[in-house]
Amino acid sequence: MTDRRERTGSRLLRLLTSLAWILLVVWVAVSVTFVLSRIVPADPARLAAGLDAGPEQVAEVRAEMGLDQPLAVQYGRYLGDLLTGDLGRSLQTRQPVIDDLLTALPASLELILASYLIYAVIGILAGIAWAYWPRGPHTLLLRFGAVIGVAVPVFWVGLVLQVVFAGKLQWFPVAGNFDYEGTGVPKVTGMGLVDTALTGQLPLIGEALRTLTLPVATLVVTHLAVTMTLMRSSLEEQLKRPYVRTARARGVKERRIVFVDALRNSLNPVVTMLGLQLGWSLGGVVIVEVIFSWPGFGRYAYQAFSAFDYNAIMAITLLSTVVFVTVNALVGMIYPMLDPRLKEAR
Amino acid sequence: MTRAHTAAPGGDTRRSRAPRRPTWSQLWAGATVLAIAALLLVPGWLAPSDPYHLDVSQRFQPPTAAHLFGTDDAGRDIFSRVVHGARYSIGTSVVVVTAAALFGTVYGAAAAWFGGALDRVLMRVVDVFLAFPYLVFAMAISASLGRGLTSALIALVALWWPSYARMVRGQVLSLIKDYHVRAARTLGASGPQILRWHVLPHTYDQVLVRYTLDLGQALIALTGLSFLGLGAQPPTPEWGLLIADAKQYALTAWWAAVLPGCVVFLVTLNFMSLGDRLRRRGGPR
Repeated sequence: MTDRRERTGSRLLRLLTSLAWILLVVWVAVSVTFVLSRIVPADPARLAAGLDAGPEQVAEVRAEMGLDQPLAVQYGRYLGDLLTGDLGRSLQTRQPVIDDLLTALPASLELILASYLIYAVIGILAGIAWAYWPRGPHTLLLRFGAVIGVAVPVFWVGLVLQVVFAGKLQWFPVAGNFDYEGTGVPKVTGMGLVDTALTGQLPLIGEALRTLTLPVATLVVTHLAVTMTLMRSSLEEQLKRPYVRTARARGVKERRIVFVDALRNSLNPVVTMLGLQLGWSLGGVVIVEVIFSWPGFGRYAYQAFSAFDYNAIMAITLLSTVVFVTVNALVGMIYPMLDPRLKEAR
Repeated sequence: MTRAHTAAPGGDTRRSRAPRRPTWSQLWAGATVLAIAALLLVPGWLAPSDPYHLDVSQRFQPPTAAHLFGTDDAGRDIFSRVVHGARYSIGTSVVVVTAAALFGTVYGAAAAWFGGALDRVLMRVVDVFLAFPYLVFAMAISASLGRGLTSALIALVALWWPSYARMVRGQVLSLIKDYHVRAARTLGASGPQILRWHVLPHTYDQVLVRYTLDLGQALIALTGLSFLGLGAQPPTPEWGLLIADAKQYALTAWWAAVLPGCVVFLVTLNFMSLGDRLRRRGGPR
């Protein structure tokens, strides 16, 4: 049928445009960071050559790194390397940046996935509960959580949790992720909880959980509020709509109205926000990883920014941009599933 | 005559009320605004001692009446440092949001006013900016410009203005179709005159709400950058830096990290509730 063919055609077109958009944003991001990395007051060649290098040695290193070339040549070479997957070497670790990132990412992924699952689920449930039972003593707690979540700096939450639960009460370790050394746990995924779960030994799983608790709690406290308040206000707004009144007048069960009809209509902004939060997560873990010495992407980024490790910095911005844009594009594809009107409109 | 329509729509229908006793929350809002203004303008009057004065014999003193927030590893009075740091932390956040709001407003208004291809190009730029993960970019920009409060400021402004541009553009687009703008045009007002007197004033309400809410968020972002060493540099008593320094001995001297953080929280909270209050006062139009 022509109708269907037209629809697949437009769907393909949409996919292509969003792909082109992703590429454009990534290219701009790469170019911006390239420019930024070259206007830096610190001289990367001097950093790489070491403190006691003479001017000749610095010049030698500079030529070796290709930093004596005109900017356009450097830019072209950088883009070319990028296309072949070469992100250059880190000045600090002297390893290829891609290897550094690959070793650091699992630890961050563990933090991100664990906290994301918790705050997404709790945020949605708490928001629904808040809209469904708008009065009562529990709203005090929810309001408190909402206020804390938007107004409190991440580093403060992390430090307070650390001081109280690791310092005073000593329930959790102060810093670091799951320590593989001497446990005999094979490093399969690099995520402590998953790897210990694979061995099936409860005390080890408990240990992995203990190391995860404080950083994850910090992320949950600071991310929960947005989802929760958005869910609440979105659902409350739907419950004021005429169709809800009509359904009530027709005698449809209240539960069905709230949890089936209104809930589905109210999910769109929540999904957007959850998408944004997932997209931002790589940047969001930096402070938490610094506080808890969690050896992941965030701490690597922190070290790269502090030492002006420019290859690493460019790789970090590149990776987080790719993640952010891709997640947003995926969220854009989820919309029509939630809201059939969008499907028709296109 | 060009000033004819500067009043908010519906402003003339508002009844003049007899002066009422302010509510407690209004008093609280007023008091916090005054307190913040005092912190910014006359920190010397509020701080009990010199924020840079080292006294090793007084190091790691827990909070007492003499040292309200205790002392740090160099024996400096933390309360005085927090008071003097307000200028750096709050002051810079105010500059960040003000610059972003001004630039974004002009940018968005220009895009909407000229429309057509220019509008499309300008808004695509905004889209690209909004498609960057701003936290990472703030860090990258700040690190590249050389670590310092100014770099952090520039980084945050560069990433903050697009949301204002988008908001103002949307408003201006709907406003320029309004009757009062058409009337002004018929009466021969020039483009800039119309924008200045008949369109932009109506966007100020929303911009102001956003501005106030953003002050708190900018404070959190700025102190975060400083906490990572990408903002203010020692010995500035900037709040994020203060907390970063105290992080090393947080387990033995908790007050040095926790109490300044409380201040960041309280200030942010007050900006947010102020913004909320403005939003509710504006009400749904």
